[in-house]
Amino acid sequence: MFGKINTLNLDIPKTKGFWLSVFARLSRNKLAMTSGLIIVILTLMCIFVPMVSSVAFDKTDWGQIMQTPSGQHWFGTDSLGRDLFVRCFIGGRITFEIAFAAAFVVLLVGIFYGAIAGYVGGKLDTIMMRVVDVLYGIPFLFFCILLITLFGNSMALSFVAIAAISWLDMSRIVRGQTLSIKHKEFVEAAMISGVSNLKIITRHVIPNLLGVVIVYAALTVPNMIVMSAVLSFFGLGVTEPMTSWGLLISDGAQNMQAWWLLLFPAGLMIITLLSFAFLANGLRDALDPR
Amino acid sequence: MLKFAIKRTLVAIPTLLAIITLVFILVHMTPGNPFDGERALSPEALKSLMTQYRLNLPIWQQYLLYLNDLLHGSFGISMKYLGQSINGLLFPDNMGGFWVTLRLSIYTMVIAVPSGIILGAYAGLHKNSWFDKIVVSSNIFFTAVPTMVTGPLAVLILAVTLRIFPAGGWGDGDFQHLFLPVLVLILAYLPTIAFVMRGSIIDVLNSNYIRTARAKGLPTKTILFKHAIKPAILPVISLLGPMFAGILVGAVVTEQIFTLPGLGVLTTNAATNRDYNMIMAITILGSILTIVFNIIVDLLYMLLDPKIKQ
Repeated sequence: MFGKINTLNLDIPKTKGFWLSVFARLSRNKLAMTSGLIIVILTLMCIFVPMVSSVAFDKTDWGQIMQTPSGQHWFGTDSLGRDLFVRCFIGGRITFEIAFAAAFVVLLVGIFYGAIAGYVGGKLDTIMMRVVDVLYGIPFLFFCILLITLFGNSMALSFVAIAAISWLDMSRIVRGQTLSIKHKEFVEAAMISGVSNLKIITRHVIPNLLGVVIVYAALTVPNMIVMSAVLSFFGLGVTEPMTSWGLLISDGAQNMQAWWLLLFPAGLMIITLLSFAFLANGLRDALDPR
Repeated sequence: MLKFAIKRTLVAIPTLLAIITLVFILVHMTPGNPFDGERALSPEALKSLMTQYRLNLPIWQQYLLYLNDLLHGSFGISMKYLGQSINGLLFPDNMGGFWVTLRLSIYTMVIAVPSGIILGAYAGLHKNSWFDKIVVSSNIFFTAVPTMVTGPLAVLILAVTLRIFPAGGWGDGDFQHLFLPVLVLILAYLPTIAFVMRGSIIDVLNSNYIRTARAKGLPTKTILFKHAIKPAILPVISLLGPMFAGILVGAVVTEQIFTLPGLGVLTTNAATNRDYNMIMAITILGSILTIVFNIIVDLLYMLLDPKIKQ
């Protein structure tokens, strides 16, 4: 009898690990890989450009006001004579910080909320999802501005406000996924054989959620970038002399005769947003090959 | 149909009430009163202000009175422009406030939805043509890049460099002034509509009943207009509900870019002046619009989808 089981085991072909094959598929997708590389390079530049640059991002120079891009100031200078190249990357750093922090909170809250609602089910699920429905009825921008007006305008609070209204999609997606995993045979088998709820969630539910979460994370970060930038248009969030891409773009939109003030930050933002979109697309294809 | 409409409306009321309650609690939970930051007020003046704004009453009375106001269509009085009614600021007699935002949103919907459907259907019927590729890639681009980036770029190219259109302002709501803001809004939403329509018409054309119709030898035109279009539009309709909230917010952002005197200015002013009543009013107004529009979309969906009708 034992021999039989052994032969059975031997018959099972050695499959590559799931994540290994996902990575293999992803690495064949040139567009997604290039996008990922661009994101990494931009992130590194946001970290190091302000560090190694010889001029500070808030150094005003009255002799260098509104200079067109040149060898000395690669992206030109703004109306206070500050170097736009450094400002673009310090702004990028702030933008990425807010976006990643908000995305992290969004994922955390969304996963927990959705997984609990989906796994527990019943009345609790109904109530929790009604709450999500209600929050969906509020246009996010107004609610965000309301929160910031009430609790004060600071960078930290602006990311909390953005996160507070952005976890809804994530929780819905995770709930749906949890529901379908819950009714899969292997989970039911685990339940019948007496595995504890906690172990089922950690061993079976969450690992199976991971794919969705990764794709959604790649979509959430650019969303958060856009949201924080939109808030800048309303004079909320990051304030001068600190800057962000949103603030730089809104500044450039008010100084149209100096095209570089708009074109460089807008270009950086477009490149970043598109890269995240292509990366998310690639991840989705790699995780769900159909 | 009427029964469904009534039922659908009744379901929306608790949602709206919950939103109003949430917003009210949030605003009134914050410590201090809105007149703290103002120039030093004499105790009497402060007292009369508190009475005028009912802040001296217990919170539950304030809440009930606020609900009563809303029921009578009043959003209360502004805290910045002392004594001015918010309704007067939101819905001015001349063009401005909500009317600007509403006009932008309606123009966008009226142009983007039909043309999105037509362009999407055309792309789906000519899969992998150059036109189809434009639809697919513009969807990727405009979904990723928001109006707050495309808007200023459009101004830079079409207004500042080429000088075809004015860079901003409402004018008297004429074509010249409205073209760019509406264009930017349409660019943000039309590609998504076209993309969804494209996908759904491809699905429908591959379905069994269309294959049967083809096998029966029906002409392509009949198949397309009698059998394919209606079911293919359904996914687009269900897209419109959430999209409307997006367009409303998009219109507000666009107003900021083109310095139009709409809800955007009111929101910014309210935020910088901590005019709680105003922000509360705008948030609730936005929610009402979103909810009402979702009801309309649901009804439309029901009219088109025979499966729900029974």
